Amino acid sequence: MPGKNVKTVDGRLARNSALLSALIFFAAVFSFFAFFYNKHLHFEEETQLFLTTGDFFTAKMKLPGGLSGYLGGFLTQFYHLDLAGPFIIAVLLLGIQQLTLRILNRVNVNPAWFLLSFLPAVNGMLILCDEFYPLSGIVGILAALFAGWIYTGTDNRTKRFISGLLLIAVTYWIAGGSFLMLVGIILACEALIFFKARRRLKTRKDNQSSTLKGWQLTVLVVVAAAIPLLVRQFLVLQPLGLAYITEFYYDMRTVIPTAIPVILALPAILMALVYFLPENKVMHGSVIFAQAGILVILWYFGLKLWANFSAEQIMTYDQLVRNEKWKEVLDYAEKEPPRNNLSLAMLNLALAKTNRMGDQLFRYEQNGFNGLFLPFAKEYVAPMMGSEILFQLGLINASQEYSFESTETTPNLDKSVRAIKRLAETNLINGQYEVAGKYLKILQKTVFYRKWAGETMKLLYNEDLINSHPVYGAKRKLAPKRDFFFKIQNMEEILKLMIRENPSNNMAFQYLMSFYLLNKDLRNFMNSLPMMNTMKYIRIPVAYEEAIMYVIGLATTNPMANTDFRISNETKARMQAYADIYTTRRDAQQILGTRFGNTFWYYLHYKQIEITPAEVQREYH
Amino acid sequence: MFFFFLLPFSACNEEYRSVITINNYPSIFPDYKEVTIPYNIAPLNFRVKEEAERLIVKIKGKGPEHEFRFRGNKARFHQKDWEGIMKTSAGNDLEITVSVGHQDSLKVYKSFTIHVSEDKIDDYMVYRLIMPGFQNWNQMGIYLRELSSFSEETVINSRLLPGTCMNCHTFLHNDPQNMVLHLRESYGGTILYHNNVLEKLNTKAGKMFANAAFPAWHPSAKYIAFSVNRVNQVFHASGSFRAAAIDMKSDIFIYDIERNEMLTSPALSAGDNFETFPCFSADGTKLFYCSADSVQMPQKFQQARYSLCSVSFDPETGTIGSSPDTVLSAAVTGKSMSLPRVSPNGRFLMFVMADHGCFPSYNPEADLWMLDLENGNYEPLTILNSDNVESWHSWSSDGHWVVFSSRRENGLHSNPFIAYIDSNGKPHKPFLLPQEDPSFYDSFLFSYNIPELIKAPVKVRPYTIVKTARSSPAVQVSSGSGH
Repeated sequence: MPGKNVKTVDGRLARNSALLSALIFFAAVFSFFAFFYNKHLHFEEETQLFLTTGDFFTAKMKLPGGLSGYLGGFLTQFYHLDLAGPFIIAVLLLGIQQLTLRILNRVNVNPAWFLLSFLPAVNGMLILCDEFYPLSGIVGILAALFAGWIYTGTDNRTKRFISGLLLIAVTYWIAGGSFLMLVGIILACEALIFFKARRRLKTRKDNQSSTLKGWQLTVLVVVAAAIPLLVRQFLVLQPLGLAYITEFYYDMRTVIPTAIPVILALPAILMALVYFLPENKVMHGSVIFAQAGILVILWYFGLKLWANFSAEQIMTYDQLVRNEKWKEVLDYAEKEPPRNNLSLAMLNLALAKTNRMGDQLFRYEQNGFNGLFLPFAKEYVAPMMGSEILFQLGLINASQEYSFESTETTPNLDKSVRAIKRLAETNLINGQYEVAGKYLKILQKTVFYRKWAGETMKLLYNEDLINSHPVYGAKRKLAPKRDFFFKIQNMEEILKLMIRENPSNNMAFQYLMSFYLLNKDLRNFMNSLPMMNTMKYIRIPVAYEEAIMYVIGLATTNPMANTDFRISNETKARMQAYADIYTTRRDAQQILGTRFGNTFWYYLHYKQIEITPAEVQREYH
Repeated sequence: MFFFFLLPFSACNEEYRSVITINNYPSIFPDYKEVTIPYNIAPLNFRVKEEAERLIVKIKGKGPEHEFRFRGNKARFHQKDWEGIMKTSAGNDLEITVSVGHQDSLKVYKSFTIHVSEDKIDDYMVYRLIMPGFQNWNQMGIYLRELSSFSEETVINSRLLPGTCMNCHTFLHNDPQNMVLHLRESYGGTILYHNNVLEKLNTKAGKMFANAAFPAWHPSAKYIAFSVNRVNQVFHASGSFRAAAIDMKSDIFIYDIERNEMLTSPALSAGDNFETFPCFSADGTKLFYCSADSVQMPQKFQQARYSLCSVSFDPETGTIGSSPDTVLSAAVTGKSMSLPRVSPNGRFLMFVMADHGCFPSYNPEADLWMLDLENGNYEPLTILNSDNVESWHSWSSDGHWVVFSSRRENGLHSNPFIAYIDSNGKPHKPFLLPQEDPSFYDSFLFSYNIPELIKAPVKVRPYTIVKTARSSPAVQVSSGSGH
């Protein structure tokens, strides 16, 4: 699009500011995703399956937007590396800003307005905070802006018409829904040329350029509207809305969130906006600072709206657990106590794995059964994380079921590399080598799981290697020998069965005792205490002491009197102090919450939970 | 056993230091050795299960010998070359010689035979694709495969109907002119294509406890028999069995299309019994089905054994007989029968036999059996069976071909196998549905469910099915009185 080459006295300031702003923007985006939001990227990477095969590429290219989808997936797999993802995102968003700047400069050359060019990039960054917006959308937007830059740089009307036709078709096929952004840019461009002509702003370039004729513009719009319909009719079966937006912009394909049309319309809106801003007038530096201020404020409130730090916390717990960094989970819990069942279940798993569940269970706010295991409905996060608990417990089939359900409820209908890996592992442990081999062959076609898959392939059909494997061999030993129908609500019976089969299974014991305590089931808790002997406990864990003391208080006899286990004096003293407050103070809950909030007693008295009824065990062997 | 020829040896214009003649068949996937195929089947592409830089395949039939060379270990024939060979080979045998070039040696394997039948197979196969395992799915669809090529089209899929389970596609006489399929969940209902009209039915009529499923057309096209099942899926906590589907309750109903009403009789909906998987005889005067005494479910699901039964049916009046016959008793076989399918000429009834239950996909021991309705003899179709599940068989329109699902490759994924059945009911070695890339099945995550052979493409467009499925309300089927 033609423009004027006007010099302003503060052009240098603007140029330097533009460069500095770009650098700051790059650094801010990189830092945000590297240091504050990195686990989201890992989560994204784990829930996609990108294969380096020709068939995978061809399958994507058969879809509108397929190249963006392919490139988005290709780049997303590098989220596996902590700093690669933030770098890639920062580069792509900077690309969006730079292309936007170049397009806006063709409308209004006054460098004072350069900060407006950051708006689409900032918008792009914000939507990436939501895990349902894939990186392929950013790639697609970049492609559309590039097409828009070519279009707006074409002076000759006929050439512009032809290039418009080609660019719309090509952008639709390679970038998908962002072709609508290009259409917006084209319409804005033509409208502004028309208005400029009417305002008789005669410049050298303006003289060469004139707006498309009515029929040309009509053809462009009709072509843009028709292409998705034709594709839908003859090439790719899909719902009408998806034919226009395509599947690479939002993972839930049945809805089109408002953010999508907003970001697609933004460049055209900005073109219109800068058109009406002063072009020749020399602006003061304060104008730039004012824009910067507005941009920062928008960015700040945008982040408040879009960034989900609760989810980031869950994903942090999840990633640490997935990599079996149990100690780090506990350290993280000191800084960021769990705020929901997902995080809590991961923390509880880390407590069990470090043999601290009996001592530290109530150090963190518990929430009954649902914070111990993770029942799931039709969604993919709870089964993905719940699979980790079941896997560590040695409930291999159940872990497999959870992983399967997780990948089959992934919103974008893709498969999850993490679930495929777990499916390979569980089938390997179960001796289902053909199935495990199938999954491993698939993982051998990925960049970051190829090596692991190759190594794991060597275990197939080799019972000795598997049995002596530190993870898979151990899981085989833990796995229940007796078959029964698994149901997460039956965990009590399942854990009891596992302990019966393997009396030294301390992890199952910790979970069983925690289940009773969290369910406030003191009768079964007390009945299970003798199992501490076979587990070779040398002392009673603190939470158990608290529960026992409570029972002693009720029964006036010490059920542990005839055992070698003794309640510590410290617990006895704390119990006395708790009882004094509980029985004498009207504001007991408040005081006890402060002083004894981390005890079983407080949980028992004040935590409202839904008691999990014991299901009828459905054993059939 | 093999023989060496010393260097230098020029074989097939290539220099190999040694040529080894091996007196064994090559190990190939899919296994096409000694199979019987129709002349209108797609190229039988295969790979050798060994390293190879070069593959030489010689095919000798009635005409001149053809030699094909491939890089790597995959033999992928051009469609036209293959069609040319098939054109002249109907009714004859093909002798296939595979030579594998690796490094500086060429291994020439013992030739094997492929029998090309004169009997054409129906041109298309319809099946559902779904990732197998447990409860959920995010991609599912019913697809149409042209058997003479690798072309696949969508009948309906979850991309078009998100969140909708689709299954039980059934055709009358292998002709898509009469088609029924089921949708569950988001856009649930029974889709019926009949007399060029597509409609969505709500088949839960009267006191039926669920929607109708597992349809079977009456040869007159006036009726469709359904079973109504309450199914529980349960999951094993340990061992290699993942899941089981348990028939908690089941009855059979016959849908009178013209009257839009469900017919039943005490014989087919006895309170204490399970009745499921109906199938009409070829002349339409008898309804075969599977029945078991009810047992406490799910605790005693392994004791549920289904007998093969039949009851008379009068298509003129829609009258269902009152006294069912036991064709094959579970008490006699000690096994459980399911999925009866009568051959088009009415003589044979193919069914599945398993240790217990009626959903054989979950029973690794499930095998295909054949009952000769003329003499009552029944025997396993040994050459079709494997150590894993065989089930969901479908006859071709001429009764010479069957397609069935088998989990023989890895115990989890069902793949479609096609077998020739001669006029005496003798089965021939089956072959796996060929794919363009012979490694296709190695990484394909989906199962082929309910493969059905049909003579022509499904005429109803996917968007039309979508429109009908989304239409609300569905046509309500009324509850007819039992005749």
